[in-house]
Amino acid sequence: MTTPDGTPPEAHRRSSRASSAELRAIVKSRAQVEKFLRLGLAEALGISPDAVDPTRTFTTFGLDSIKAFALTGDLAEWLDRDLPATLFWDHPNIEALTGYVADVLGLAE
Amino acid sequence: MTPASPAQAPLWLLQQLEPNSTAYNVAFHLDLDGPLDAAALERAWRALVERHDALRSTFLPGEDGPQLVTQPADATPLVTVTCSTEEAAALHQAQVALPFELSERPAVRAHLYRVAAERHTLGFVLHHAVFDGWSLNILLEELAAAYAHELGEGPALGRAPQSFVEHAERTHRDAASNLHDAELAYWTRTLAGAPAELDLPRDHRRRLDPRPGATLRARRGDLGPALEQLAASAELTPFMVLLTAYAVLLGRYTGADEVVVGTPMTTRMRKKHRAMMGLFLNTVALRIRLDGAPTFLELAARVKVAALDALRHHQVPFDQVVGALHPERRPGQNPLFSTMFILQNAPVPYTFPRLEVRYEDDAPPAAKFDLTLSIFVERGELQLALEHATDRLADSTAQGLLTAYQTLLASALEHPDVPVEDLAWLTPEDAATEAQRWVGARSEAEPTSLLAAVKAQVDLQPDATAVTAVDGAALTYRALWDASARMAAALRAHGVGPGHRVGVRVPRDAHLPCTLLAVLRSGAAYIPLDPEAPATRRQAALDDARAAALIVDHEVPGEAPEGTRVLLREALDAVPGGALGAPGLDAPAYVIYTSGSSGRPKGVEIGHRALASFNRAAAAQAGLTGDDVVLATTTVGFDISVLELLTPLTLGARVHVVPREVAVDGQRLGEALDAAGVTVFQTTPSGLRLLLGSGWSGAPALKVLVGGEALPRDLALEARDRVAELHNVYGPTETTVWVTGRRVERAELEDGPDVVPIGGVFADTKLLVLDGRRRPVPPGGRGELYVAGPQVAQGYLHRPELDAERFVPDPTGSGARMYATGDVVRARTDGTLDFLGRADQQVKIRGFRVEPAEIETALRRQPGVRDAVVTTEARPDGLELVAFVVGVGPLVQEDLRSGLRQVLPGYMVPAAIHVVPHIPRSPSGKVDKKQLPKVSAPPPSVETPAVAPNDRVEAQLLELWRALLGRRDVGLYDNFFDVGGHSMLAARLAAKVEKHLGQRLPVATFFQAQTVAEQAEVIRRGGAHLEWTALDPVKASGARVPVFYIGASDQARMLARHLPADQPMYALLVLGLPAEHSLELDVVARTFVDEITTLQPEGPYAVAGYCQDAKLALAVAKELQARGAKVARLIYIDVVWIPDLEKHARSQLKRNLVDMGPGYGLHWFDVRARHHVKRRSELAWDRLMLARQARVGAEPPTTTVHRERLRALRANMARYPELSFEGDVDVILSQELHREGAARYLAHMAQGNLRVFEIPGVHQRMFDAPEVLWLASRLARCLEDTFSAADT
Repeated sequence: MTTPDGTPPEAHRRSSRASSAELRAIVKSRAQVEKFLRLGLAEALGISPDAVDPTRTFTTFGLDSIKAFALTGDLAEWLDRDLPATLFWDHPNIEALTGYVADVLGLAE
Repeated sequence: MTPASPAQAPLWLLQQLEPNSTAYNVAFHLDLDGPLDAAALERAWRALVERHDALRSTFLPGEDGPQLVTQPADATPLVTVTCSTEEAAALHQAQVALPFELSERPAVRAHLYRVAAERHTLGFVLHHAVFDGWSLNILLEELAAAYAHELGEGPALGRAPQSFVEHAERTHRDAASNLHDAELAYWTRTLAGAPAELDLPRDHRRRLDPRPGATLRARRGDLGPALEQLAASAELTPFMVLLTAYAVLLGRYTGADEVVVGTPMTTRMRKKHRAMMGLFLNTVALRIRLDGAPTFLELAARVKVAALDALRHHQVPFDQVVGALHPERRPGQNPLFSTMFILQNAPVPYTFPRLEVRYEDDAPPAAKFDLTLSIFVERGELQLALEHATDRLADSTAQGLLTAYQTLLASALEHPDVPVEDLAWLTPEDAATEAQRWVGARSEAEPTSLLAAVKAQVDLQPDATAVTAVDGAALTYRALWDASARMAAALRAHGVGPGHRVGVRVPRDAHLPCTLLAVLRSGAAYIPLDPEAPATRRQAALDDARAAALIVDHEVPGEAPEGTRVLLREALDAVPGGALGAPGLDAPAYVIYTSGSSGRPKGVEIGHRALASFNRAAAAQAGLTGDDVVLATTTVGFDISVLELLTPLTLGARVHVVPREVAVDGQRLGEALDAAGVTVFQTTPSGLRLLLGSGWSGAPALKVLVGGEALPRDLALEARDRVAELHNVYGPTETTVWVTGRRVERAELEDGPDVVPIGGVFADTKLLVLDGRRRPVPPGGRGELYVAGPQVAQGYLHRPELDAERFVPDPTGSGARMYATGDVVRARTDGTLDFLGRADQQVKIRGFRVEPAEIETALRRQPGVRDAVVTTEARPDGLELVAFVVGVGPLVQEDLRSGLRQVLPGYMVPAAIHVVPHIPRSPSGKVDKKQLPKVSAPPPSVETPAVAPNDRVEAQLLELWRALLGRRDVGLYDNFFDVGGHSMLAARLAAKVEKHLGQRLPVATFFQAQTVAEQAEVIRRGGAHLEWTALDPVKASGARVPVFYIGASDQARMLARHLPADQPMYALLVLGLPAEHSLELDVVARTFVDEITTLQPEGPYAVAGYCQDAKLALAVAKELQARGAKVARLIYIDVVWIPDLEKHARSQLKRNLVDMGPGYGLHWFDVRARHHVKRRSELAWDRLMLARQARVGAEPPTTTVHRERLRALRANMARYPELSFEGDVDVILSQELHREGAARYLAHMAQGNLRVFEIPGVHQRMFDAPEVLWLASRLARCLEDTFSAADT
């Protein structure tokens, strides 16, 4: 998986937690979060990113708990931030999840 | 060396507790066809081992729990073996079944079996402590890639993953720092009071250790798409759907309204973890409620909530959850759940260049839980594997479960919206097969009616004796026939005839069968009435039946309702005029009244066909012939009396009638059996217990039929060898006495369940086990028992609403009438049925059917009673009724009892009536029986013959006990010290015995014979010859080599109770020595060895000692050796001698204990529970004091003297210079001591072979139940190892 700016996720890892300001420098917008999720979901499910409807509930794509758990981990790593294990259940589609992440990080539109 | 992870620690500890277990072996193999470069594969394997330190770590015990030690890569080689295909398979299987020694080498065994130039098998066995399902994918993927790279055909493996060992340490630290308090609170809240045990079928009795297991597999290519579709459309995951179906399955098989299922959850959230091999799992226990008749989707929603909550709180290690909940532990039972469900990761693709690869899982021959269902979904195909403990479930039962699961799942996928109760668990074809499982042989001809059969015997052998009685009365067949004819004629003269019902209330004498025959010959049906029952009850029955007449031997006022003529039997004598009635098979024969839940008894009407059919089938089942003599002991009010009073007459056999006084007196019953040449005896389990309890030695030619209530295995075992045949018979009144019968054999009993299974269906009868929707149940399933066939009653008299409820059409076949018994049974795969209980509240008290509701109604009618509930308590002698009543004002128990006796038969009067402030009820208004006060041993009812004293001595003793203990609820078999007795009371008891029984007994007697029954035996033998000496024969019988236990007698007794039945044990007691005896250890040891060698002159010996007493055990063992005897093993229980004690101050040990509390290993016990001990050891002390006192007689030494002596002895022990034994030593350490690091100080304790075993528990409670089970089972195994090794 690659990040929206094309670098591997490891490149963003910090030895200590990044401040919100730093994060905002890396993650510029909701659109990037959404793109990350879309690509991640597509890869996990083996489908085209274009086929991912952001309003469709994850389980209806056939996303199982192990994949959801792994995607949560990837997102946490990318954001360098702990996320709840039930993230994909609490915010069950891309739109909702993006909104949650944006709220938490205080991202711009 | 760094700590292992919290998930690894319990797996490691289990392996230490059960070193021979292979339950956590993970094994698989790859068949590789094609040209293989073995050297390249070896290099590839080495590369993997280098990358993944999980594959090369070993475990060492440490203060802080198990520690991981990383070994060099060559510690985990790929071993190449050249052999044949068969050898390869055998070698690999041997590896699979070989336990790991986790401290010695890495828990990974890799073998390459070369069976031909281009054919290899690559076999792997790994311990689950370092490996999981995800690791498997990494292993296969990376091994294939590394191999390709070695061949120069692919890139090198990417960057090495992080160290698993370091990861383990981190998680250990996280867990230790209590990061998860809030999560832990969730788990303790969610799992509090959850049922850990599942009432699954039990095909085998003995629990083996380690648990053997087997795995059954199935593939379902048809279910994958539907599974994914349902999951996607219902916003579930496949895991949730599959687990829901599993919960439904468990609910069906167990009848439970909630189940707890364990499941592993991955902790590989981060990418770095997903690249690492190792154990990244945490077990969670999902509690699933099944009540409220949910649909499958509704239940799946509950499962979803449970699964997501678990995910939300998944970080707290399972072991901490167990530790926090302190579940009650039983040896061999897993904490919190006994079944696991696993959805395996989907396999990843991998290819080895130019090799065709076939992968296969290999299950070790062991079981982690009672049942583990794991499922793989691969390309739309479900691969199911059901691992089951074979010491519990037969393969056939497990197969039933696995098949039923698939059927349920398929049914649920098709109909997710229907209540789960409706889902099919058998396919229609299988249901049809199961419906035919219990079908009796079909008779060609109609049965001969009772009267015709008896008449045939009259013609055949008119002068043969038909009936005898204890008073010497005897009737020949001819006399019986003529007398019944005259009586019938007289009945006819009184207008009684076909269509009428006639009550019979006469004593048990030689004319009883004749009276019954007379009613039948008049054409009427008889209503048998128990003369012992209250008159009002008899009146109610006669009234309900609209009886035309009542035959009595004397009149009782208020017995006959209006319209029922009372006829004196003596006066029924008329010359038969015309032909008497010969009722057809369709006519009613008798109406019998049984307890009714609505509060009034109901009459069951049995026709002549049913009776005739029963007579034929029962005679065939029990092999009855005209030569038999059948003892008639059962009251006519109980339908089984038919077999005693009438069936024999159809065969030309003799009926021997005994009165009630004989039937309820074990001793007189035994005499009756011996005296009258009886060959057939029918009884209930209660009656059988009464007989055996009287010391009856058995009759080698006697056939015994036992029925009427569940037959306990122990009782059957006790009875089996004393008689020629023992038949377990079963049948409700509504299907005419018995419908099944089986000869009970010892071998079956030994491995059988606690309650002897029923089965052996009678000819022409068909049984069905149907679920709540009246569908057949699969093998091993539970359901209600239904009976169809000619023995089914005509119905309930004048109760059409009850008829409709209980007599229903057979849904599986012809639609014939069948009777719903209300008995819940389990369909065993061996063709028998386990009796599990009732679908309703009905209970059996000494064979009699009792509806508690009927008693409740009667209680509520008592003056001053506002509310009442009746339950049962299990007693050693069977069930007892217990009533709880709420009064308007104060209530007197005795008034209530005598009130009940006016309206209810004796067996329906509760053994105990407790007055309570209110009856606890659930919100739905149902009585919440769990909330009722726990009643310990209520007073035995005077009507309970089984606990009644057998003779004068027992009766007097029992009264003395009761007076002394100030309670009446003590029985013959209660232990004096369990019911509140203590040493002072024992002394007073001795005095009272002397005064009242005129026999002087040493007080010691009361310590060695601790029940009324035992004490009575001593008195009968003319006083005590029991002498209190240093050698206490704790358990003298048994074929094994005895163990000599140096220490307290009560410890030895507790242990002996749980050792194998054939393991003798003797205790050697310092306080048994004369007061003047030296307390130097060497001198004491010499005296002890004198005693030991008197008893067992030759070695090898086994000596054991606990705690401080172990020093004395060492001295004894040394003394035995000094005399040239072989000591096969010295067994120390929870003791360690630290040579340099000062260095290890108490505070250090204490600190360790606190530090190592929760968070490490398995948590069985609470250290705080220690207070228990003090009281108990004081009691034991007092006992010994008094025993000594009794022995020395005139000069009772003061307690102080003894305390001084023990103190002196202890000082001598501490001074005793020897620490080491020149021989083999086993040390059994409590978990508590082991955690304190005791194992470090053991090496010097033996010069021979030293073995150390850790058992759960704390030092002070090792001899307390239930913990003593662990010690006893470990000690038994130590002894077994010792002497089986010595034999070879």
